[in-house]
Amino acid sequence: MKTDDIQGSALGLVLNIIERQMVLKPEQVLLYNQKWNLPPDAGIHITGQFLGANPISNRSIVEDRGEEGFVEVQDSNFQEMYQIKIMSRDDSALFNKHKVLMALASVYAQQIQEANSFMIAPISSNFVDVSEIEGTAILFAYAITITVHAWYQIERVVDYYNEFPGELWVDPRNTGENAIPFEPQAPLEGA
Amino acid sequence: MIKNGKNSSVSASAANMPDVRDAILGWLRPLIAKRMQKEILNHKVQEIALTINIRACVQPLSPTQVLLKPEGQRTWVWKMLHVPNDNPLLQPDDRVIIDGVFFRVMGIYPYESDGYRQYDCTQDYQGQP
Repeated sequence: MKTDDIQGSALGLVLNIIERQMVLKPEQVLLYNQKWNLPPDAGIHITGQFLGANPISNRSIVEDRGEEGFVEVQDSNFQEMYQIKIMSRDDSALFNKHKVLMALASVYAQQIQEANSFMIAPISSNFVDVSEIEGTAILFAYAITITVHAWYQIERVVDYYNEFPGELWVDPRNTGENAIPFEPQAPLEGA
Repeated sequence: MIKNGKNSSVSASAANMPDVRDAILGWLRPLIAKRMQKEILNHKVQEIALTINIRACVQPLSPTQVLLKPEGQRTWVWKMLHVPNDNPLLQPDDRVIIDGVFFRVMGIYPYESDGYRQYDCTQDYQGQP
């Protein structure tokens, strides 16, 4: 799973699914923690928030890929909790809140999960009313806590002895020295 | 007839505030402000800056005013702007360039009936003018 921006992240994919299945406009579904105020107009607005995670596995494997050299493949699995908040100044959040969960269990959601190798739990762990007064209005707001199993992978070339200096620790009785330093060298031709 | 201050009750003192626009005209200096229009792209807010010119009197906050801020915000760099009300209205999150540094409008005190508006601004460390 790509993780360096929202496009390929699990949270971004969850928001994409909700936007498509609930037929919302792009400006109605956004990431939390941004300089954004709820517009004064009617209609649903949704934010996605990362709450926390349980790391399940964290591995590092070195693969010998021949001409490509040694490649470190790191992968980790997380059970992540996201909070989806649906809100509106009118009552549309009240009467559409169930569609968030239904969107995450839809056929389209299953296709996205298959394509990106992650899993959204179909039943939320929490679904609570967080309506509050905002200015002269009373905002309808509901917080839905969902669980997602996501995996992340990073690959990078591992440094070998031709990349960094080092020293070889030896028996001083034979050499008169404790360690013999060596400098990085290009691999031998044909090696 | 001259109005004497001693004849005004304390509760009516706010209503008796004079129009101070003419008084601050000599203290103004030109500033560049950026009206930040917001669009959402890929679930993220993108800001588009529209340059506007204003004239304002810049004043730092007094120690007492800083003390009244929430604890975590006292170390932020705060400035107060006094702007005659014939200048374009700034909104929260709009940027103002003061001495080559970005500031963001955090609060608006619209004393329009008294001839000016006051803005609380804090330094915006994201980006350089």
